[in-house]
Amino acid sequence: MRRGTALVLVLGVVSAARAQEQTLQLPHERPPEERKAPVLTQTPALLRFVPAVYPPAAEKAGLTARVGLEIDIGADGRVTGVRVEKPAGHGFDEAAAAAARQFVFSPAKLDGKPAPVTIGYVYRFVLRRAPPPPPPARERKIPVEGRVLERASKNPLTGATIAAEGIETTAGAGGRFSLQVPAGMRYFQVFAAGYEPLTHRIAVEGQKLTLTFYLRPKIEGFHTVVRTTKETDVVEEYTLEKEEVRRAPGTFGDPLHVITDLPGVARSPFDLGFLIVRGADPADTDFYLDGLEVPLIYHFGGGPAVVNPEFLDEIDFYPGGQGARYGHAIGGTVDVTSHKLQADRVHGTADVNTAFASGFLDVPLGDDTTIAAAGRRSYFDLLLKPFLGPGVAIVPYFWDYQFKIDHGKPTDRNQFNLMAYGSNDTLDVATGSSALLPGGVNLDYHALFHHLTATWQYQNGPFKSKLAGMAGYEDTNLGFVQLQGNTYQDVLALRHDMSYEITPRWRLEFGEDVQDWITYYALTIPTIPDYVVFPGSSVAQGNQSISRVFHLVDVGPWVQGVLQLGGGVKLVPGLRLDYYHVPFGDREDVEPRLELEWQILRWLTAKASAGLYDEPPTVEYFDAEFGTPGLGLLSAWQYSGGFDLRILPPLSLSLIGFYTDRFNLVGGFFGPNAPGVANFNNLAQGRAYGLEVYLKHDFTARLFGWLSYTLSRSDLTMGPNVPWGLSAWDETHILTVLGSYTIGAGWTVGARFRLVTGLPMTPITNSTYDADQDTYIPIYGVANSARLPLFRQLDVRVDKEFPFDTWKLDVYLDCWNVTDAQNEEGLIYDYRYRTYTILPSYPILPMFGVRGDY
Amino acid sequence: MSPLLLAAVLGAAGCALPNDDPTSVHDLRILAIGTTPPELRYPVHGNFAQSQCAPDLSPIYAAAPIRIGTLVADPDGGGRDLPWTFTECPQTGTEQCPPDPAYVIAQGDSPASAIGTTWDIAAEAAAETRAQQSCAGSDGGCPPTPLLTAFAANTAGLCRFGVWLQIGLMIAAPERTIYGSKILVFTPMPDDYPTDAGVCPQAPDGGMPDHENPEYSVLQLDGQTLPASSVETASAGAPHQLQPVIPTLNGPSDYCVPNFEGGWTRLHETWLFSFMTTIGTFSQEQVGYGGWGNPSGGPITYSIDWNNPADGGVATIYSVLRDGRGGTSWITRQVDLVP
Repeated sequence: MRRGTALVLVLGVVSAARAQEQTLQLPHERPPEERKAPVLTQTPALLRFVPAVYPPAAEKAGLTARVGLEIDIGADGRVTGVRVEKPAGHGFDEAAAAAARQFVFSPAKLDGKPAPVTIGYVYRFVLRRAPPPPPPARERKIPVEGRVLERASKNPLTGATIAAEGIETTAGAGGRFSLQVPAGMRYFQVFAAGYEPLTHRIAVEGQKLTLTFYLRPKIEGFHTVVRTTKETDVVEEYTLEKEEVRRAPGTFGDPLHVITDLPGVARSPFDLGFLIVRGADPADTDFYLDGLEVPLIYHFGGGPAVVNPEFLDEIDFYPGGQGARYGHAIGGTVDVTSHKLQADRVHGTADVNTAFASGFLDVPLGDDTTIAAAGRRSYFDLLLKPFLGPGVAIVPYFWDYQFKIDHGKPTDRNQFNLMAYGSNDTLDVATGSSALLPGGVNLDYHALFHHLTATWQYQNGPFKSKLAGMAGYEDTNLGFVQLQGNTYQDVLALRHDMSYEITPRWRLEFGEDVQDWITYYALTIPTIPDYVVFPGSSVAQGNQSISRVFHLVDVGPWVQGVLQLGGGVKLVPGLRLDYYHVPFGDREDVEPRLELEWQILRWLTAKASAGLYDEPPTVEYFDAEFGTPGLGLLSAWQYSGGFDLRILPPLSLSLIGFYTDRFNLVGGFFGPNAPGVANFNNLAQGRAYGLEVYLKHDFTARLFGWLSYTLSRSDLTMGPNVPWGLSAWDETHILTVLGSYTIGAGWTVGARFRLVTGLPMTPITNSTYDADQDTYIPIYGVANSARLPLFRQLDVRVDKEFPFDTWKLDVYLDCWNVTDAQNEEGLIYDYRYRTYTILPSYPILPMFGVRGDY
Repeated sequence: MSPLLLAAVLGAAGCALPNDDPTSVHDLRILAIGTTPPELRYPVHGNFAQSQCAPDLSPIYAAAPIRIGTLVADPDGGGRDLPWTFTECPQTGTEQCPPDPAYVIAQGDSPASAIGTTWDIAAEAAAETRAQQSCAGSDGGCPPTPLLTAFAANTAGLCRFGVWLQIGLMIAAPERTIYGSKILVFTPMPDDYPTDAGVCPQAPDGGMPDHENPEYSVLQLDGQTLPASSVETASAGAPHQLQPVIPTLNGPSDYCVPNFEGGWTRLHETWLFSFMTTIGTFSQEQVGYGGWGNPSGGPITYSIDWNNPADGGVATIYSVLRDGRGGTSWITRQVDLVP
């Protein structure tokens, strides 16, 4: 007897690129809610398989075949279209397509809702011998049940096919399956989209058999990521996902470091992690975790982010043009979304490298509650100790911790989470007595903070609400020789974001953002004489203590509409009111914002934005004795516009032009106030303009990467009658090319190349010997009229992943400056400012690490 | 601390720093500028706190000429003549006077050791007064009057805290133009200067004692006084120690300055010695009283180590003393380092 049997292999079901392409191909007039596909929550499973008719001629000739199909599946799971992608001829193509049109799938779900998708499918025609005779009636069948999971990650593979002795079934939710198999030694075959097929010979015996199958992804390390546009697009938002950038070269495995490789961000000196966004002072850019401000984003000196990467889900970076939701920053904004914990299983990671060690553990408590904790500590202090001379102590280290409880599923009406996190950076330096400093050098620096946050999310039909509160303690201390400065800060913050869908096309978003800082300063400094000190006089004075308490409150209600006007036009008008209670008075500002998006063609979208932004001066500037109590708010008008092009997915291109007009900037100096003279003023102005290019290859099975180029100029003037000059943060050309490629067999290689104009510097043309102080005073040329040389650096990262059934091991090498390029960070002059040597940037700097993922 | 910062710190520590030691004199260099006297005084009447102040600048208009001296080293110059210019101006913050002839005190050509001038400040004050009077009421631009402007532009200094005039020196050597600056102090003597010697030091005829340049004449090498007019011999390559000798009678003295509360603060001169040499280097640039280097105010060490090469030669040692309120003295000695 002959029988035409189709053995099904489903390949490449719902790749990330495919899912995104779906969203982009939707007609313009559809509301944005239909276009989004935030999360692929369920893959389609084959519910009804229809065997194809074996072409008689081919059968007679003994031919077999594999026909590659593309199957369009509707939101109801029915097949809406079939295309032959890899034909086999001899009548196989028509037979396979005819059978596939009769298939029925369980609907794929995007963000929990059924949605149409396209899958790849291979229909295999094989000639088989006649099946064995049916088992005798007395042959006992044993119930077999179990799960099909992805190897290493243990993600359940819903829709996988399990076959044993001609009996097939499909894994359901959680990858669970069950079937009845005759007792005895049996072959089990397991197939799933994008995974290597698995065959096991298993003794089926006993009353019941429980099995777990682990399937290896066709490309190790590839995790399906579904990406989409956010609910409220803004012109210059760059969204990065953790998996996309975890292996980005030059980041030491820290996704947040990738921000420095995005358009609009200049390279900071020594790559120390200052975010210089569109030529603005780094202090003008704010950092948020789940919408609540955090005092710093990176550990001291360009270290890893203060939040463990496992706690990060998404990074939104706004170089400008951010909506009304964000205030008190005239530069950019970084908002990090913490990871929604996995409630299905225990998950943990451990990472040990030459710089630090970290761990993360995620444990479900019941069906809808998950608890997670993470910690990290560097050990430079321990590594450095053997190399230090007697009497010298250099103790640099950092640590951070995170703790989170998540309650509620994404589809629940109410969800809660509680999160505690904190960070510490310490640098203690102590040297023995020297000729220059008889008391030796003593440096004591630490920056510490603890934050506790609670969040309640509520959704009911068209209304969504997210209420988050935070209480924090922040402590910074700097001691150097006889100087001591301590800053303690008590912080309370409240953010309430709400939205209401008035119609499917119009949404109202509103909320408020309240922050309350109480800052305590305690300074110990050499006594400031109460007389005019002659230059060069060396008076051995005692110390004096200065203490201050500043109270700063910011209340920022905001509202914006998301209006889908038809014709592909979306308008987001917004208004924000920031009311600041600052020392010696109150300040307020009304900040209009407007964003416009017009999808001109399926592949072409135009965008524009304009808005007013403000921020208060650093609070100590208000000091009555050393500062200026009457200082006003710093402000900026930001304008931008450009295009997004998606001509060749997964390639996309973004072109954005920007102009920023900063005014009321603070100029001046700290010092004892002279009667009638303000130390600080709001007379400084800045302006920045440029063009940003972002050519990106989306995260696909093997490849991701981007080219980022910024052409910009940032100018500054300290007053109305002072000539404009280059800002200290101006970098004309900033080019970054970054990519990562998965070769296979667990190998992934990546590289980052940067070519950046050197930072401006003021040349020293000569010097004057100050005979009273016995020192030389430099004679400067035109401010910022020279530059450091062009910076160029190539970084490389290599990962080798070893997957095991329940965990995986990743061994990596992240090497900075592999070519050992001699870059310059500054000049070190001799005592007369005549000759100088180069202050070099980093030499080749490799970092090895091992990461385990359970 | 990140791996990046650590690498930066270690890299910076390991990079080649400029190796021009300040204690080594090997080319044309200004080592000191001093004026004699270092400070001029004038009476001020009235009550400064009540904005009633009447300075009497007549002593300035009648002051004796001021000697401006320099210590300039030109070890490779062979006694060549160097074109030099002295200027005066109100303090600019950049330590440089504007490039206008009106600011020039004197110009000349001479060997480094002879660079100096005598400035007739009374004549300058009179000339500037005449220039101001002749310019008064005219529409054209008036010529600069730096001396008078230094007083006029600083009411608080004029009436109470003192006026500082910047004396500039420019030496335009063929290979390089170098600059130096020195403050000449004009101190008001108000009516409320304390008369109690326990509060402020008293001159024999009352008021603050005159401020003179500190006395510096004895410098010892390994405990032996270096002669001023001959060359002492010492072994090359061996460690030597230099120590200035503070005179027993005319050492650091007390003085008083007006404070911001309207009273007076009694201070003690802080003598600081600098050392330079044409052969070898010194272990420190300065010894003596140092607030930052000696924050605890502990015992003050004046000795300094001289590191010199074994091949020897005749070394010139320059040492400059500053008293912490504008007074400056210096001495030069020679030592033959014999291998």
